[in-house]
Amino acid sequence: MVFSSLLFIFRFLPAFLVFYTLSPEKYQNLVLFLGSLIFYAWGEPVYIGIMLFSTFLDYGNGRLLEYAFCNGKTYMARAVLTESVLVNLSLLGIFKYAGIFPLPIGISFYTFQTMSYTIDVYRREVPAQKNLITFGAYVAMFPQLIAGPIVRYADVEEELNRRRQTWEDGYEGIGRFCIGLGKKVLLANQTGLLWEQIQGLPMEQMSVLTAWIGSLAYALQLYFDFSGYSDMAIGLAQMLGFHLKENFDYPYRSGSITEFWRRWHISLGQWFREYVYIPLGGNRRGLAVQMRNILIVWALTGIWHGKGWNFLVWGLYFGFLLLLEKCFLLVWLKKFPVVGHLYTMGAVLAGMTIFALEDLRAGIRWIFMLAGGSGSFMNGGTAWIVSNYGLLLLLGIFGAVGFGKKAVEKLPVRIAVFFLSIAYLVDAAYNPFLYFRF
Amino acid sequence: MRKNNKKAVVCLLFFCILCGFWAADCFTEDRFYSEWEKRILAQKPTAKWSSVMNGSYGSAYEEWLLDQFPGRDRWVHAKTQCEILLGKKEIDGIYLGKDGYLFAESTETAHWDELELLMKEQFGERKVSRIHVPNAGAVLQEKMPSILCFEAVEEDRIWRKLREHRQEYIFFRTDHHWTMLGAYYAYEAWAKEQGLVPTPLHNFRKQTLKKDFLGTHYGRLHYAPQADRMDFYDSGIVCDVVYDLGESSVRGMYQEQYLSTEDAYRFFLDGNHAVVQITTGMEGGHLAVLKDSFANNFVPFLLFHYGRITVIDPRYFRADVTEWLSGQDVTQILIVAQDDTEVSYR
Repeated sequence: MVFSSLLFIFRFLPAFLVFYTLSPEKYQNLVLFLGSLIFYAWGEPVYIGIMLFSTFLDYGNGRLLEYAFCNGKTYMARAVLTESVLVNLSLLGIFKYAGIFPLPIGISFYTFQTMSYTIDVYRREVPAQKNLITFGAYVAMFPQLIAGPIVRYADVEEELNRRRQTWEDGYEGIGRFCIGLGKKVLLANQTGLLWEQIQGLPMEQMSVLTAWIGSLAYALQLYFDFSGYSDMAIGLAQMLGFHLKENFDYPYRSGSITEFWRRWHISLGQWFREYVYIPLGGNRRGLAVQMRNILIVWALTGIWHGKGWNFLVWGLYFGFLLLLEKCFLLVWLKKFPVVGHLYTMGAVLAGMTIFALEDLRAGIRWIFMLAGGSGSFMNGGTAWIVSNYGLLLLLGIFGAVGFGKKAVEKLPVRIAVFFLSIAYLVDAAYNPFLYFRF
Repeated sequence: MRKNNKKAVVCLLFFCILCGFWAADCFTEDRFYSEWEKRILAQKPTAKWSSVMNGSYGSAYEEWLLDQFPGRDRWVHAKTQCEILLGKKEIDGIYLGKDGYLFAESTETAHWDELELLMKEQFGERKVSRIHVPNAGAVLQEKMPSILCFEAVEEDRIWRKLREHRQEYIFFRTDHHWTMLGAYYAYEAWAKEQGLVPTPLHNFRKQTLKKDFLGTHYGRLHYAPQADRMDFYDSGIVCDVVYDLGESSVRGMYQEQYLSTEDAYRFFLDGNHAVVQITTGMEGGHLAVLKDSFANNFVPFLLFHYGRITVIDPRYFRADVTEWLSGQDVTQILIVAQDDTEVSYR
């Protein structure tokens, strides 16, 4: 099930809220767990087995680690940790990269979550969860189950065991959900349509400006799609009494790629930082090691997004830019903020194109077009796109940099956004979730 | 405290809205067919163990929810209004032109070129003629959104004839069809080519059937800047009409009962039937018209010239058209249909 569907909004959500709110506190995790299973199973009942397997496995691993610590068996703890990481990565390998089965929804997100739990228990940062239902509720929690944010166990441990639903949180959560829905349905889907339209144009109808508008449309689609999903996730979780961390912080405002990645998909960046970069030595073992670590992290970040070669190239592309910035560029960019913003947007738009086009050659052709390789600067088609989509793109840009943020916080605006989103959903022919592929 | 009360009210209201639509959905009866969208709507699926497990029940349920959502048409209208506010000139494949005209690309409804060749092989070159119905946007170029145009076949005599009359009301604003007046000009051009004397327009009794006609383009958007007038030119000839070789109980050329429905164009020849056999009682041969829906308001002009007219819509005709026609002692064949027309930029 996806959030931006009539099924979720007008069936699942009200039914779940009634059961959840009316059940006594000690059963709320059970209701959340079972509700999440229904949510996950709706479209693809078969794959629920993999998620449950992952849940049971790392619940068991947590308990085993605790047993090992209590009895002073460090070798056993190490073995359990190794086993957890291996099994989780194998799951990813088999179902995501081998290409034998269709991708189980959300597998990249929940395997990372269960892995982080076991690692945190191993590091004694959190105690193991003794209650299987509570742990199940953490893994399967439907707000973040299928497209993140990647919630670390340590961050919600307290609220998993004890939380309160308040009107205040409900109110905030509803507003957040409406905004997320609007981002997804009103902005991401519409800019996505434009991107598909431009991408499908025959070569002789392309122009440099059209290619740039196409990349801009895709960049907006990706941002609103994913940050909209995170908003809905955070909002829904808040309705249930959870307070999740932010996953986006206006990334398109950034003045450097370094800053961009601190603001985009924050939970993934932190995951890699915490569980790969720092254990590899981070920046404490000299510049050479640090540079190696950055490249490893970014190769992995790329691969995490999918099995296509374009994702690896895309990750390394940003890795190299980050290295450049580390070495000398960042200081220089800070001196000329305007140049910094232009450079960042250019680099991001070009990078997004590699990300969007799974055929690497198509991606390179596209970048060639951006660089002026397609002949005319603009043509009739460009003029049509600007006149037809100009206002939408402008609204998208304003939204992406947080211009008019105050207006969107007002309740009537949020209600209007909600109803408009429903109108677009009722007449929807185009409603994909980009981050489902990952 | 007061602030918190307000928040509680908002929470409960939101919840009531969600439940309200659920309840409304339960209490409204499912529609089977959408006149506007011209399609059968999804019906509530029944849950079986196997269909639930392979996920097909889940997706069928979602489709049903989408198709039967309370107030569907009004939601679509709201969406269109919002798109217009955003300055869009193309919404779901409909182009918003000037003076309230709506346009759309057209796709060939059958392989008409192949059919024409087949007919010529079977009945001889000289017996077969063809009318390429131009896309409204290709004729009314001045009404198109400024950057766009539809490709026009400029040497085509029907297009040229219609183009001469572009100031007149020859295409509907809210529908992809031509008006009966537009059909008349096509008939006039065609008849002259065939060596027939076209019946002057004033020999027909003009009658306005409907002043608030809303057509297929409206059906897509649930929005139209201006409704259409549907005029009818009555020849006064009373024909004997048999639909679908007598399998259908429909009688008569014109079906007034549809004028008050969403499908008012069905007034002409009861919409699309596989075969309509018309006996006019006039002097003349036997004409076979192979056509799509554009011929429905065109055929009435032919009544003066033929004793029998057989109208065939190959899309619904199950048997082999050529073979069947061979046994019908047809004297002439006319193909009336629209070709593919794509939009391009100026």
